[in-house]
Amino acid sequence: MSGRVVAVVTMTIVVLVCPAMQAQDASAKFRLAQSYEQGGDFENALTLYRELYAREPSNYMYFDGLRRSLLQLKRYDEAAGLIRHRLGMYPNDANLFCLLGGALYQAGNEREADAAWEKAIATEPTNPNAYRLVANSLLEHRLLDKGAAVFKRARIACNDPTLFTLDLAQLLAVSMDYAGATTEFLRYLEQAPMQLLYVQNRMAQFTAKEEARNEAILVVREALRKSNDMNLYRLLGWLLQEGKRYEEAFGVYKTIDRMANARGAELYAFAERAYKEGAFAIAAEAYKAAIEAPLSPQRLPYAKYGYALALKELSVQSDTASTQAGIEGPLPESQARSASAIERFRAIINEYPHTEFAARSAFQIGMIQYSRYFDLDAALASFTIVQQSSVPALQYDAAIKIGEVLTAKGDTTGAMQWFRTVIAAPNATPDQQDEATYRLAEVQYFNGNFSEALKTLEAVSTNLKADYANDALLLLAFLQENTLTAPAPLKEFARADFLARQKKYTEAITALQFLIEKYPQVLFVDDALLRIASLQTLAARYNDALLTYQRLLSQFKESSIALDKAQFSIAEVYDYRLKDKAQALAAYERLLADYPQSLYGERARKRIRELRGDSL
Amino acid sequence: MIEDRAPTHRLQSARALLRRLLGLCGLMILVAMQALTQGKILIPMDLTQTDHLKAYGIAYWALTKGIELDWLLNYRGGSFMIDAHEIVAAECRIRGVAFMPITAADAALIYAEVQRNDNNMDVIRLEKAPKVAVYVPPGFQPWDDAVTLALEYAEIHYDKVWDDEVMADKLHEYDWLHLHHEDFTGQYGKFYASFAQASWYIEQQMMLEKEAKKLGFKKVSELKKAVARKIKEYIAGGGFMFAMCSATDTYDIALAAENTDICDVMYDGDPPDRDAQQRLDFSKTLAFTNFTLERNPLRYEYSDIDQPPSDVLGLQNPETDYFTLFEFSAKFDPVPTMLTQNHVNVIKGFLGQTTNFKKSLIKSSVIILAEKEGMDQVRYLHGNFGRGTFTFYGGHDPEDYQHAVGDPPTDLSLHKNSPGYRLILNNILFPAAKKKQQKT
Repeated sequence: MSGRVVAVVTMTIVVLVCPAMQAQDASAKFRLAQSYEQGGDFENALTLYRELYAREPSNYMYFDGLRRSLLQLKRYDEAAGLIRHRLGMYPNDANLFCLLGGALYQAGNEREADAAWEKAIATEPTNPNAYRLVANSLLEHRLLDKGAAVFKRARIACNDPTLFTLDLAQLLAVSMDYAGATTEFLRYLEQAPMQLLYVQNRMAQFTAKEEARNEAILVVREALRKSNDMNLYRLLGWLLQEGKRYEEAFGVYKTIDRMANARGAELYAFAERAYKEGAFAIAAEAYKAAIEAPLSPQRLPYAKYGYALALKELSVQSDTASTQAGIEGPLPESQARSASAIERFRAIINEYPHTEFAARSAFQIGMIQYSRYFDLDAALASFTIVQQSSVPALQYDAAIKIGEVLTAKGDTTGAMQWFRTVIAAPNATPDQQDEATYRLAEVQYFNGNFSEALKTLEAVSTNLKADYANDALLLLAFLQENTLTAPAPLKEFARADFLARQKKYTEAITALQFLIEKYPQVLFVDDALLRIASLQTLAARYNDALLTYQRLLSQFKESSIALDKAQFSIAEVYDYRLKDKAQALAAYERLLADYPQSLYGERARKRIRELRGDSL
Repeated sequence: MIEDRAPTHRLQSARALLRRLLGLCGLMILVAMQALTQGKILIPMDLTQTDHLKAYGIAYWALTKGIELDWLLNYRGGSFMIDAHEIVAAECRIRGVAFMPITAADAALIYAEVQRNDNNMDVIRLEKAPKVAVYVPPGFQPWDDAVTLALEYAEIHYDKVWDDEVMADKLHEYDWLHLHHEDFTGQYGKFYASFAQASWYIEQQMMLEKEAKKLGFKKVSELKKAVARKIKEYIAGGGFMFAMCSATDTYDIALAAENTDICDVMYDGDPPDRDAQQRLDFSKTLAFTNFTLERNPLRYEYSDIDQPPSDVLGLQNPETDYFTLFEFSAKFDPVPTMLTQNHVNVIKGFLGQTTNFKKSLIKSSVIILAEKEGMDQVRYLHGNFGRGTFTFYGGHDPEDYQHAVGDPPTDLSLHKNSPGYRLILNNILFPAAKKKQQKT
């Protein structure tokens, strides 16, 4: 009896414990197999997975580990056999068909692989997930075209044309099928009209490339033939602007503005971007259209100011190098066009008096009057208005400009007063103070107060980060060289410079010629000749200028350090003023031959090659 | 009547022909006399040269104009001597290349000095402008590639070729094939770990996959191997190949891996052969042997050829990184001498995906042109294969110590005298050289 009990107890223990032990053993082997696999020892992993799989074929983890190891060892046929074996157990498992397709493809059996992928779809031919599984499997094997085709098939089979839109868009974009990608993005936009920015962001990944952008534009234009959707116009406008096709973009934004009943807001936004990108002509047109829309009263002054600025920039662009503002010499072409900018700025002042727009407009008018027309009284009046305005940011700039205008008028006392005001102002920026300091030094130089000018210049020249440091250093060096050795001729030279500043070119030239005759031994006679020639150039007396440069080259052949500069200037007069290409080329080449170490050498070389039409 | 006239007419024609021939001979004698007596232009390539790189461009330009010139090996840094034509002088001035007009007598003295047996110098006559091809992908811009930067700056014309042209046997139309940082292993530069999500990487992979498919290859790595073999055929047939940076070691790796798959799944969709290392066939390579592949697909390195490995480049000190050019006998080894012409013989180092080559892995048949002294690192090497030659130069950009993806291009107008860039341009002119009787 007791023996029987013992046997029963033993049997019970065996029955209960063995499976648990077996399970423990399988778990340990599985962990070991995984660790082999992670360590790249696929042979050992395979042995263990195979053992585990043989013991429990229904366990997916064992199956998958075994499959992975076989694939890693490139035993594709075995892997396919394994998957087929499992398919025997689960004949409708789409995932297994996909795995089979992958293994067969890797084995080089594309036909059977395609058949396996087809079977995966056939398990549930109207379920989008079956298509996604297959497409993902195809993409995993870099079969991008086939993957895209499966996504498209799904739409027909599942009777849902909106399926997989973003997947396809992304897939086609990386496949460099930009037209296809754009079509899909448009489809997505149709489903989710609020996602325009998202679509733009995604499309921006390829629209930086011209050919991609052009394809996208074509697709959007085509879509617009069928639909008048606002988003399509916005996308088209954005694409055209990305491609700097501003004229076309402007047309699109006009439509958008009209469709959205935006009363110019869309046009204004477009104008702002066009202005920032330097497309001033189209920006001016767009500002004008926005103003005439009419834009809301809050935005109107911005648009008007933008319009006037665009006109001003356009007028500057219209100038060629052959003309500069001056009392003597030809008028710049910009003068006629500047008039319309001034008119616009004036209208702003009248319409929005005592505002920042008015102050800024007055400043811009002052700048045009000073630099374009050289109308000193008018410029002074404009800058004075700005200086007295309540816009602190502009007050000191206006003060400096007043000083400059007074200098040009010959009122050096008044000018110095204004410059000193800015230098002493605690609220002026360091840049404004540096500029005022340099201008003050210039006036001191014009007045012949060289010691004061030297002191003032040192303050600017020590700050090498200052915008005016270079100019200051040049003047400083010139004064240091000549103040002690030739104070009287230096005064004559400064006086001539002062006359030149006032654009009294003939007087300045006469003064310099007098200096040369009176002090022929002075060290800066060559500088005086250079200055005469450049003033003659400014006064459009080009032949006189050439003769003066030639005189410098022949008379100071042995002594001047400015010979290369004279030769370079001769080339520039032929090149830019007289438009004589052959003479210009000869003069540049002469510079290279006669002054091989010249600092102007690089510029001359570059220009020769441009004139020759070399592809640089 | 006609018969009577005919002999007279023939006689007149013969006289006219004779006159013409005499005139022509006279002209030829005059030209020859002028050539003998005319002065020369010496383009010095030592430290007095203002723009070494453009000087190569002048030599190339002269050849394109049908003006032959002499390369004076080891004379003042490898100077050029050209007949004194005013257009040459003008072009030198325009391009900023220093030159010296010299008399025929002075030129004769220089030639005599160069050809003296006790001077390690020689004269190489350059006769025709070489045709240069650069292997670059379509749409490539010459910003990120020292080879094209050098050619563009020196204004040496080159054609771009890619896999299509190589597979269509178009290489035989060129004297030179230049390669830079291409990856012939098909692992897309091994940038996966850092740039797998970058649009340029994705696009590059797509482009290469399309190209492979178009040319009938299932994998990019297979296409690249085929391209490497075609290039090898080109060299064997008499072509000259110059490779820099990763185009050097990856080229040899691709040749060695002809019968095995070394690419991991992210590069070609399947795992590499487990025994890929054992299956490398070093008899197929040009320069390297017994190297060990870098099997980690995420490591930015291909093998142990590259020294120091790319992922420890940050530890290099630019201040102490120099390599030294070897000197060869100009009269007995003109080609290595041409390739090492320079105005200095110690050159500052620069890093690249492949920087230096491990000396112990270089085949004994290969000539070492420059090395990092005291280390197992070779910078510049040269070898013959079949009727052609190959030259490998480690590093990416001689004037940008550590050039990274997206860095701005080097402005060579700021490095006109770059000794490192000179080495690239030395690899242009020697197909232009008139073949000389070998001294040995």
